[in-house]
Amino acid sequence: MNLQRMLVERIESRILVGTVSFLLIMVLVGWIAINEGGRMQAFERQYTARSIERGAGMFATYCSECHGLDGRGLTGIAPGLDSPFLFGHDFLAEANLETDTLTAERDAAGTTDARKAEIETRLSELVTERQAISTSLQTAVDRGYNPEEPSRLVNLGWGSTLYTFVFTTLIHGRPVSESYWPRAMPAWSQTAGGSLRDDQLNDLVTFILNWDKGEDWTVEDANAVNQYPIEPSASGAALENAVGVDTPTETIVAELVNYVGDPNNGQSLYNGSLACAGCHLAGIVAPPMAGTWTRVETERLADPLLAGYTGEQYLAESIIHSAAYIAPNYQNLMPANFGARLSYQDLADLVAFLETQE
Amino acid sequence: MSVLPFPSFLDDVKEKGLRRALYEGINSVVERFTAGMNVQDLREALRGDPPSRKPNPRLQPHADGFWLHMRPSYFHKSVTGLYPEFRLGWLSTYFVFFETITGIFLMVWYTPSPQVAYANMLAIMANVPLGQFMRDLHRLGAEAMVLIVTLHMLRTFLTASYKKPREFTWFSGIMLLVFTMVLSFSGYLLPWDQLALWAVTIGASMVEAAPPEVVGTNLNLLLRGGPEIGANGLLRFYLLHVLALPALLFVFLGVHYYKVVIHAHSLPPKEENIGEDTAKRVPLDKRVYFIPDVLTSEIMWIGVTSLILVILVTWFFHAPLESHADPQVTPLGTTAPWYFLWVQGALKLGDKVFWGIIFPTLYVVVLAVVPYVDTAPSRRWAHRRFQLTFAFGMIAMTVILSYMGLSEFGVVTSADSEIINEMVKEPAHNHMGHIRPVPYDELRSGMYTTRQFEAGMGEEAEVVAAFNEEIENGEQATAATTLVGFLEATHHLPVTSLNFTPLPDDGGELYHVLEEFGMAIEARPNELPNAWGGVIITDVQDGLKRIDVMIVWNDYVNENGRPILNENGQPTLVRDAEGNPVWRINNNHIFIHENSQYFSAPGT
Amino acid sequence: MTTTAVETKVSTAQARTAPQVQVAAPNRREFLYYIWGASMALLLGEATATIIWFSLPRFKEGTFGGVFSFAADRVPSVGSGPLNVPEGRFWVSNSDKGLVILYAVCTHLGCLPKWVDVNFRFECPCHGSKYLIDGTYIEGPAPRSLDRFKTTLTFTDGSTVVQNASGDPIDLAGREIASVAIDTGTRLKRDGKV
Repeated sequence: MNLQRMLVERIESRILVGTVSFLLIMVLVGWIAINEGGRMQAFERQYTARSIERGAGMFATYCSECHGLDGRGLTGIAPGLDSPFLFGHDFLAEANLETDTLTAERDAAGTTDARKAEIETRLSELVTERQAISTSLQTAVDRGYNPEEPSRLVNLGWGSTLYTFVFTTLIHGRPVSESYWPRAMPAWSQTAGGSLRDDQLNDLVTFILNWDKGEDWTVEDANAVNQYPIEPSASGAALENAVGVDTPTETIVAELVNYVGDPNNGQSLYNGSLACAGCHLAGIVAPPMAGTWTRVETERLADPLLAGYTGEQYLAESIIHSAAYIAPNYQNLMPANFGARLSYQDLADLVAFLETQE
Repeated sequence: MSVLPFPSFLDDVKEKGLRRALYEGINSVVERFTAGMNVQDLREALRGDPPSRKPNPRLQPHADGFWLHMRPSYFHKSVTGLYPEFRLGWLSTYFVFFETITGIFLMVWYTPSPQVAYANMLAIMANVPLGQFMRDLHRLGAEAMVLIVTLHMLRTFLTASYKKPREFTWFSGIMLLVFTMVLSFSGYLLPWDQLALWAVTIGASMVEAAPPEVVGTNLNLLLRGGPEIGANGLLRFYLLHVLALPALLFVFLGVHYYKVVIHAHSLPPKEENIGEDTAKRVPLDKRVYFIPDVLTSEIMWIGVTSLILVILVTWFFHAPLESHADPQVTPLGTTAPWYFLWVQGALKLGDKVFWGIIFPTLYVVVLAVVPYVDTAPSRRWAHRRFQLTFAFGMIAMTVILSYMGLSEFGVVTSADSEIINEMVKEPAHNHMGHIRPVPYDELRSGMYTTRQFEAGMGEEAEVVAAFNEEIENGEQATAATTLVGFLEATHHLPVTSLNFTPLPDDGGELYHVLEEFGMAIEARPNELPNAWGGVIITDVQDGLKRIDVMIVWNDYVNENGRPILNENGQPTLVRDAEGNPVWRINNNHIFIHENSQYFSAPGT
Repeated sequence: MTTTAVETKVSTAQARTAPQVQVAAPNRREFLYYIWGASMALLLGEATATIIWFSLPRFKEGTFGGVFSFAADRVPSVGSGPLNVPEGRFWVSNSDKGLVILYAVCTHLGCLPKWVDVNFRFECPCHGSKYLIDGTYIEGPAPRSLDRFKTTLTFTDGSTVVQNASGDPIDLAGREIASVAIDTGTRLKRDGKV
């Protein structure tokens, strides 16, 4: 066979084949080496993309129940993550910067009076502009946003990156807050007793950080967030005329007669700062808001345990002393601190609002 | 009088002149390095001239040097060609060292711990120059080594080289084959990806079948370091892979090669009289000296093999790396490595103990005892009809069993799971779900149904509209309500109602994938009666879409997942109390990012 | 030594003349060598045993492979779905047949079946095997029902029940559970699709 003769019998062919092999290997390794930079970049980009995909899958499975399927949070349950606040976008940054520059120029020695007047005009314009921005953010403000303090990390005094903030939060979770957050965030890392591995947490964080719009965050984005993080202390200050956690139901009922409830205010309390709607929504963790009054009148008051109750009395007791009666098929998950957070007027407003839910 | 108190190079210079002294000095250094050949001898060897002095200086390195003392100084002319050896033994040895070296380089970047092993892999791929190259070479080398060693065994059998006096050489060779396979297999786990974890889980679970039960259970615990493969298992496999098995392999390699040298390479059968072994008695005119002939061809074969490996890893082969190992999720279609497929195939024949343990052991034992059973003196093919038939029988059986070991063979999957998996599965074994390679721009958000393909040309809109109506109020209403609830509660897809739109037939890849999906469902009418498929594409983030693939069908009476057909050849539907068919639903979803490149990027 | 040499000579001579084998009874030294060899073999055996013991993993309570115990309040009520305990790879399933702890791995090819509440059954995502809430095989390629972990129940009246070897659900018979102990090191396999 020719191959036999060529490769094996003639020693010169062997030397030639060997040389050509070695040279070709060198060329190929060189070719691979030249392309290494691009290859590594491409791998990184592709891997990050797939990491986001996996993170998205886990977010839907594990996180969406509290943080919402769109990541914008659920009122009273958990803050939004698709939010300019998390990424520290400052809507006032431009106006603030200009204000600071102009103020410095105005106060500097040697600025002509004409220029000063010009600056003053512009400064008053800027005040209007800032106000306009703040006003446009009103929906977000109602949900806990403060345009003057636009960064979660800065507010917390977090010393490291956003990545580590999210990662650390995922590892250990967050405790319930007596005054605001009724549900704890569980620890997710296996090291902290959760169910996810570190690489899975990494995927999740990559997905969450992929919401960052950089400079392109809009006021609409901010207003679309259902819930902003609220410092427990901010709404936890004791009310002076609070009902009181330990006040007996009879006293409350006797006192409540003196107040006329405003259903509209009750509704805003219900959906807003008290965040009742967070749990009393779909009837999964707590009885749904819809049909509350009908249910009270037809079902609850029919229960022998509640013999002699009026509807108002039942509602007032359920809000202040939630453990007194547990609705069938539910557990007692309701915070017991509403007595400290509500005045009698607030309580009357809430009851009035619930009476409209037929 | 010498310049120094002992004879030195300077004395030589004084005596013979610089030029001559230098030449002689170099000459003696070269002679020391080669253990016996000076410059003149080397050049004669390279020129192809016969040696000019006696005794033959080309034999000296074999006698005096360490490295060449283990190589024969000459070979028989008949064994230096391609036939009968094809250099397979030499190449096997080459791969042992090739794997050792590339393996040591990879160890630089590797820690055997489930927490970091996979991250190490990513770092090797993404942040180590030539990291992928090294990994590909090591992986390809491992697979090539299994192949080459197997071919080496086959060649030895065909030329009957296992016969007296080489029985033990064959036996040690079989041991080396086993070690090679186990070495390769133990390395499978180290990347700690899904492929690794589950291939090794399947392999290691055979150990569990070893009778009696107490032995199997404890062997399994010893090997895995726990009831399932975790940190301990990874460490144990790592130690086996880098320490225990290589040590054993090198010991047996020493034994094997010693036997090869003392018995010499067997000559082609037709060159010897029956029953003779003349390999050691090489007539002068048949001698091919190691220096330079055999050495040249050995280095040439190294060059050619390395070149083939490098060409393969440059364009054709990349070591697989799937997603991170997850003990909670078994990928569909998990198989053992290809060289263990025959065991996996055998396992499908029945009892785990017999087919998983006894049969493979028997297989190896049969191979190992071949030379002690087949003691007939003749090595001629004509006299070995039975042995050759036996060999081809074994080969055929191994191939068939390996085919049966493929996941495509014999693993029953319910039709709905299988079709959905075909659509969405993660890339593995060079396959991936049909939807993944659809270009990102063509994944238009919306709801699509396979019902549109039941329409004639141009009637898609009406058919889909009618189907929507059917979902709203018609016979599909219950199914649709359940489906929506299922999607929302179980799969966390925020849909409140179904409203399908027809895909235009210029819809590109997505259209074809949907069409394929429809045909796959239609092809299994008995297992998926009255079925329809749906695809829902939603936006999640910029550059990230979610794709839900679902099948809705009528439940039917079945046995072991196969429908029981009535006399018309139709499946018997399960009906509820009102006599309506019961709807069943299966859904799976994936996310696709625009940079994921499941499809090839434009321009590449 | 002299004797040995003489014996060797004799035996070679005998071998040359008569091919039959003649071996002298072991003398004292040879016997001592045998004893020594036997003790070496025994030592090796012991060494192997200790090394196996050394390498065998041990399982603490609360880790997979060891015993899990938990209080009655984690046991789901009859009619609700089973409780997944991923760290122990098992499901706690309570149905009208009684309480049974199911090993979470499919008996077909080792995937993890999911609990699908809509269909109220376990469904394996890989090859579609389905199981009832108590682990009984319904359909699909699986060769047998889900495996169980050996369970010991302690009731509030102080009595205990140990699960039988075929892994049948433990009938509570109206008694109230005080605590459950699950041995994840002992897997009970069903005899088929029952």
